[in-house]
Amino acid sequence: MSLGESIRRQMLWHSRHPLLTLAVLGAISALAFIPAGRVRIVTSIDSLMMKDDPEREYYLQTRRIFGSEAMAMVYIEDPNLFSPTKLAAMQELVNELENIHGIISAESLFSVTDIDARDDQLDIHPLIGWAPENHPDAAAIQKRARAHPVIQRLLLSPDADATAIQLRIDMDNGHADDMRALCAEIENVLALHTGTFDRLKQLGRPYVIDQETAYILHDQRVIMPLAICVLVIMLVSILTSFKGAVLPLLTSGISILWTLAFMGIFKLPITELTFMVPALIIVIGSTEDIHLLAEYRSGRKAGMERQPAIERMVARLAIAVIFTAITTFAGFATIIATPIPVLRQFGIVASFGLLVNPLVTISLIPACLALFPDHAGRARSDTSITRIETRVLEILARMRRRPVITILCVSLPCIAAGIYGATCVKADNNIIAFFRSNSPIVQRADRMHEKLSGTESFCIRLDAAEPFAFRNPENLGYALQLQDYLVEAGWIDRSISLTDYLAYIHAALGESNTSLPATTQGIAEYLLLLHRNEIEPYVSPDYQILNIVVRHNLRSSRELMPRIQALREHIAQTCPPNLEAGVTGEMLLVNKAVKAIIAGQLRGILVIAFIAALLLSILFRSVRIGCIALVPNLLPIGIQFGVMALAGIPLNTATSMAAAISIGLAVDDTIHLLMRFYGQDRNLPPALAVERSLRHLIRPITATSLSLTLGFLVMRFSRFVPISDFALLAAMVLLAALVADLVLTPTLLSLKIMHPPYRSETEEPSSEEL
Amino acid sequence: MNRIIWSVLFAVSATFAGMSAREVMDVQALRHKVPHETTVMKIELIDRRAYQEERILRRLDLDRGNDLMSSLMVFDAPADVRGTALLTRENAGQPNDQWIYFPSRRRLQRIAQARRNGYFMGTDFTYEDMDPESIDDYAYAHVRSENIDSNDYFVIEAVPASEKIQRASGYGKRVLWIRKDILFTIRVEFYDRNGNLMKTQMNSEVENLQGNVWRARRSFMDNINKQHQTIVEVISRDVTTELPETAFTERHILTGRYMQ
Repeated sequence: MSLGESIRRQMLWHSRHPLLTLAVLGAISALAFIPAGRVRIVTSIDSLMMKDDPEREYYLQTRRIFGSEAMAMVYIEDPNLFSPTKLAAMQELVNELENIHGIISAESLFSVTDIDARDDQLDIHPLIGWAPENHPDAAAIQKRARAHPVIQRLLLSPDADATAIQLRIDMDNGHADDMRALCAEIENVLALHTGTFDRLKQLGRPYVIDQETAYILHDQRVIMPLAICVLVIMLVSILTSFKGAVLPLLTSGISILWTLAFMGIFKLPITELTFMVPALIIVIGSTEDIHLLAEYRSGRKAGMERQPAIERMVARLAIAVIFTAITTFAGFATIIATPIPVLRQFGIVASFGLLVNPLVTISLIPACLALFPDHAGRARSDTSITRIETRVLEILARMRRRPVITILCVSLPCIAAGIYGATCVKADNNIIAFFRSNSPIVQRADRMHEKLSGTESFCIRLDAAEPFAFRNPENLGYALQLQDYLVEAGWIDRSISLTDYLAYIHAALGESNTSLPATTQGIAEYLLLLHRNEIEPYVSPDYQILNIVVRHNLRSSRELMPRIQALREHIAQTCPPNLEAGVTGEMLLVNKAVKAIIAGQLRGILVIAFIAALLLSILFRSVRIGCIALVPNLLPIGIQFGVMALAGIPLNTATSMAAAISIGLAVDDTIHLLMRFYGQDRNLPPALAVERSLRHLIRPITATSLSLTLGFLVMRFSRFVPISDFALLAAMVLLAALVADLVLTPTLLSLKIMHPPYRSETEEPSSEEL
Repeated sequence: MNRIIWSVLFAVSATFAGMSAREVMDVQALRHKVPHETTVMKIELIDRRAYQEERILRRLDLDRGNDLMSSLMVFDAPADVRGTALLTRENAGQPNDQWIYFPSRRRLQRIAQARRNGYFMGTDFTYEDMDPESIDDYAYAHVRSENIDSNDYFVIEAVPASEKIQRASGYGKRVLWIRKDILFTIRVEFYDRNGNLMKTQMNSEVENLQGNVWRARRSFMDNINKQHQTIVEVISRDVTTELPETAFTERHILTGRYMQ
């Protein structure tokens, strides 16, 4: 028994046992509530990195030694920052922040050691031990702070009107819930000081995680209802019945519940990508419902009783439903192969959702149609079409008369756009790129970059073979040379390492002839003046590993990665043989994943194209038909790349999925068209068969494509930039695929090459159809 | 004269419990003094990841008379800081003099006395903690008595006595636990001006040196703010060898004789 026959039998069984079907679906759904309730929102930077990246272990090891370069930060700006009252408030603020659970330490103007060696007196003390009580003392502190080279652009702006409190956090326990709780606690502390400073803002990792989660919740509140509205409007307009809209909503609702249960069982979280799966299920999952219900209503309007109408619906669409479900599932399943966890999770969840949705559809729809009474409606031929549709069909018919010109007119612009786009589109992967330029997160980071240093950072790690190697002036000299190189390169805001502290003490003690002491002994003596906490982020306790922390504001992979490559090349050329150097950082690993994104994009397109061609070949028993029928679905990818290039949309975690998903969806229309052409209309002359197939399907194809397009456009309202871009691209590809399916597929079908001796398994055409 | 007064006080202080906080501090300051003392100690610095760094420090103390002390601290290990020294001279009615000597620079540098809240040589002790208790600079209050592990304690609160001292000090308040039977400080808590606990010092393995003189063999400073700890363990202590006053001069250090 073939797969098509099996599906048909199953659908008919459900129509004959509706109560049992509903009872089973209801029982499974009731059970699904338990695991579904366990699903949690989890956003993490780690999920944007490649899991099997060998550089990840190097980064994690660096983090274990020096702590994470990712911190919570509080940015303070005020023209009178160094007044006694403001400094007192700032000290209170620092104390309150330090007392928050999860904060390891706070680096601020109050934690900096000031070394003053004037008048032969060595004065070693905190830069601000206690907030000053009068203005002259405050002015003196400001003068000392402005002259302190270690804190410049790191903790103090050149104008001394902005400062930062850098809060080191325990990243080993950096679960999203903990980060959100930490963010909330920091905000509570900041709220106590509202109005004290001109600007008092939180930045850094907990804030980013909190904002991501807030955006996900916002998108869920906005996008889900909008997706439902779009679906209802489309269903009502297509099926001309509110009742007709209930069934697709019910199948989507059950599918979403089961998908959430699946996520709960396998501990798959709601992330910045998986949150859109319910909306996708509503939009994509409803297309097959539309086809089934349209076919059923067509039978009822033709005067058929309920059960015969169901049987006709099953006979005509069972195979199409299952094959289109497979191509849609395959489109999402291609994403699972990516090494980027956030994408893989999305692929697993979305493909599961779109796998169960057709299963629910083929069970629930026949059962409900059999169980609940409906009105047959006024008798009308299912081929009756509107004036607009007639006009469109006339235009399409004219185009088919000049097939070569039509094919070239459609294909060449797509190919040209694809070539142009492929050469211009750049890949990008960065968490800040998820946020719009007018979002608080980006605006705060920009302000901090303007006054202090960018919030982006990476590390240059130097490893020596022996302990205490970084008390050696030569090795420290190399670190200093690297820092000088970075300053000359001009794209960083600030670099800091142990050398900055040593050079500061050296200068403070009046040694102006060299940057650093000339002897190991001199360096060791200077180190006695520093508390370990101050230099902990920059040198390992045994002085064998040195860490240079670099702050910058380059958020785009295409801007950052070439510069990192140049830095690596410089290090390879200059690094002494006794040292090993590496450039690492959380954001570098995230940015590095762009290669996986590009590879994933290509793999996704190839895999879905292969699967679609294979299915079409099996379905129509001809490899030639399978391959040629695929062409109209591949061409819109060219449009996608062209739009990306023109609009400056980068290839990222979200946009990289658009092509594969869209092909998986667009090929559904081709299957329906070909099923009709080689099915009910197979005995007609080719030109007439094409005309009849188009006439029959123009409305459902257009309706499903438009509802998919509108559904994706709903996601354009997402606050996440990549999701919004993905929505736009997917919508454009689907529209382009619709045009290709209406123009190109019928034109190709009218070519001789597409007319093999073919016998359909489906029913013979009725006299009414002929 | 002072010594006579306080000797009388000792005699009548069979019940220390009746003493005021200031009286306890006065008696304590004199009680544990010896004329000469040479101590070799191991300093362990422990960071938040439990990494330990070790230093060997030699400390020489001399009672110059009139309750004035001189002290010299010299690093003997590790090798790259060997010879680094801190010389302190207590002055009557004036701030103490303090010099630091770095062998590589071959120069003594006077430590400014205005602010004493910087950390001493990477430890969790500040320069202020290294000074002998300047009793006139603080106001003491006996807040309560406590019995811990069968020992009775005075719990005394010390706050800077003047605005000037307060501004120079790194602490808003210290709370001292002093054993009543031997008048020896076992525990000190250091608070900032906002009343937040900054550090805790615990002196343990207390031993009788001679007569009423007691010393701790181990001192543990837990820097809560910085999540860093310092352990000072006495390796040897000598109170019999006389130390010449010349051993506490700048010249003695600059000529390198302090290392002989």
